[in-house]
Amino acid sequence: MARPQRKAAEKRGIAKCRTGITGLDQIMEGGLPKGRPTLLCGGAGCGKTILAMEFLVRGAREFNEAGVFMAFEETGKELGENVASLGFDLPSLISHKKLFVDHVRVERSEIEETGEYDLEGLFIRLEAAIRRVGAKRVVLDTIESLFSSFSNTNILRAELRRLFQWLKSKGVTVVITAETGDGKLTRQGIEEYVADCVILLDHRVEEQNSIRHLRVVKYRGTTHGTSEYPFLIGVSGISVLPLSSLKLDHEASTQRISSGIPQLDAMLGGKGFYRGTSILITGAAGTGKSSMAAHFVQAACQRGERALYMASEQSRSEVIRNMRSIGIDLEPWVEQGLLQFYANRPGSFGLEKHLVTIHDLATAFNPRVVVIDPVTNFLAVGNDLEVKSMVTRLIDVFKSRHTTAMFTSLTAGDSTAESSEVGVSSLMDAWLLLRNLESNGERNRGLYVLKARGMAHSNQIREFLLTDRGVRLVDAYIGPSGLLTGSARIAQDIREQAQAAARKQQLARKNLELKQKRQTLESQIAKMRADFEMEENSVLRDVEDLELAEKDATLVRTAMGRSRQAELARSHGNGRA
Amino acid sequence: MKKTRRLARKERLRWELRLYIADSSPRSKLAVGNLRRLCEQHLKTQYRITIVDIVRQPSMACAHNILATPTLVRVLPPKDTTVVGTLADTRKVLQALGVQVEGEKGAAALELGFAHIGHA
Repeated sequence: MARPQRKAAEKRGIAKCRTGITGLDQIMEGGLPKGRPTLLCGGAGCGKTILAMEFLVRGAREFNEAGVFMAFEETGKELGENVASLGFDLPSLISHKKLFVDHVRVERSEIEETGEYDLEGLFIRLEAAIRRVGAKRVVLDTIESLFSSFSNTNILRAELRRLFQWLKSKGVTVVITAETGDGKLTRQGIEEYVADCVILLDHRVEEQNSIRHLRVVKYRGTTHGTSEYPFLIGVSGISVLPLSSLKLDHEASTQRISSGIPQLDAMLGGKGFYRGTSILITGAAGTGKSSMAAHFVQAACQRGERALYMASEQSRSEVIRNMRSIGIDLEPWVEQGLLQFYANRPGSFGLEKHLVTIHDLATAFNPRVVVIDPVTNFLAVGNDLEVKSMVTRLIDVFKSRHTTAMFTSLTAGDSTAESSEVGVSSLMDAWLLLRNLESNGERNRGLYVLKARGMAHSNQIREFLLTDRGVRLVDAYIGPSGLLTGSARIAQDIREQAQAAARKQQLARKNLELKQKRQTLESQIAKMRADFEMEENSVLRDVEDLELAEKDATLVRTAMGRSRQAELARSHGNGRA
Repeated sequence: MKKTRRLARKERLRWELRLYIADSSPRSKLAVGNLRRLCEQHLKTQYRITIVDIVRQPSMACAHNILATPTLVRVLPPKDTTVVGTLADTRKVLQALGVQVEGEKGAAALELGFAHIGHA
């Protein structure tokens, strides 16, 4: 996906320099402007130096482009120590001539000035450093420190302008860090000179959670993501979220996968969910959300697919034990390595960290099915908007990997409002609603499919039973007072059974009647036939008698004839008689 | 003036100065001229000047942390002191180099004297 983007960028005439930093290149649609300076500004401790250093380290490691780091605030040794925890081995890169760190000591108020001067020393040092390693990337961190050392700002400004022009002529991609202050992007207003690309970093604490954000304020000559993107500094460097595509270009699968509950599959056009979609299950406490999720996971494992179960309320062993009570044993799947649990209290760290952890898990484990149970728990860490943006990103992460994701969402109390707490229902492809149905002094569970994009689905409210052999959906009884559940359903059941029995009896009776009628008829027929046979016999006998008589007569005639002929022969008699 | 020289000789001061310039730019030339005149007038034989062209010796810029040119560094007496610019203001340069601190009781007088010279 990165390739067509890069090609498009090249077409527009702006060459990009990939940073290799997770997510950043996507926001920047390819990377930083190649051969131009980029201003990276932000308050103290928001990660400017680390981002800048990662740009160089990744450049050296992944793109084989050497870099120069001009450090105005820290020594090379300090820098090395600071980024070692991110897995960046600066001494090794330096010894392989992939990186050169020049520490520019800025003495504060020690320098006396008299007459005109320039910053040729800085130019010469940069030039020497670039030549030394053949650098394609340069970081100046933090060049504004010069303002505390030199008091003639007119000279400094002119020299900085000259420096950026000079760097452009060198064709190196430069990152300049600066501290925000006084409501301006940079304290000294150097954004005036670095007009091509400005990235703003921000670090703020909201409801006791510290969140870092990155925003591309300006990027001349190219499109870019404009939102504030959360980022975090993890064990392998910076990760900017979104981790996936910013575009809605997921390929839609026509493959269907089972929900694990045959009756539910039947409600969903008979085939279950589409692969790679997002499914939301909302319901109040105890409506059976986790049980549905367990079925879904089990079905995936039975198909031999990997599944990831993220539980934020129960531990792994609790989920396994609780699901055993409804006849679902997840343990064997865990042992076979098909099922992985990720149980963590959302409050244990910020939303971004969760998102990155989930993303890392999704990348490493590559599950085909993911359950997040429940997604509403993240509200403890962020506000609605943040959680919504996180869920959006999660959906993106999973969709881009063709992973089917099931999110459960807890609704407060037993609210019947068709809205999910996190307000993400519109992002979901399928939405199942679990409800407590109270009637006749009892509480029963009901399920209906609120939406299922791209498939014909049942509009019925179905009663939902948790049995020791899993979830069972029973046929709905719609009585005059609405849906019948629980004992009302059973009563209706009995009534219907009685009616059926009555019908059966009636049928049997009718059958008997018919049989009797047939018997009567048949006996009549038999009698008539017998009479007829008798008559027939007598007639036949008469016929026979007559025939016999005729035969006798003929015989007599013949005999007489014969005798007459004999007489004729004797006397030459006259012909026939 | 005489007093200065005598004092200086008595204290046996030695000034080791290093001037970093970039090539033969007008500013470099100006700084070199200003420094030579200043030393001639105020430090007499007690000084030594090294001129470093960082364009020819870039490693020196790095090694001595030079950013601006021209830059004058006092290497001796110890604790480096830095002055940048064309060294146009002699009084300021001498002050930065700590020349007047060496005069004991005559410090005030010296300062006055330098001020006079500086303006002249």
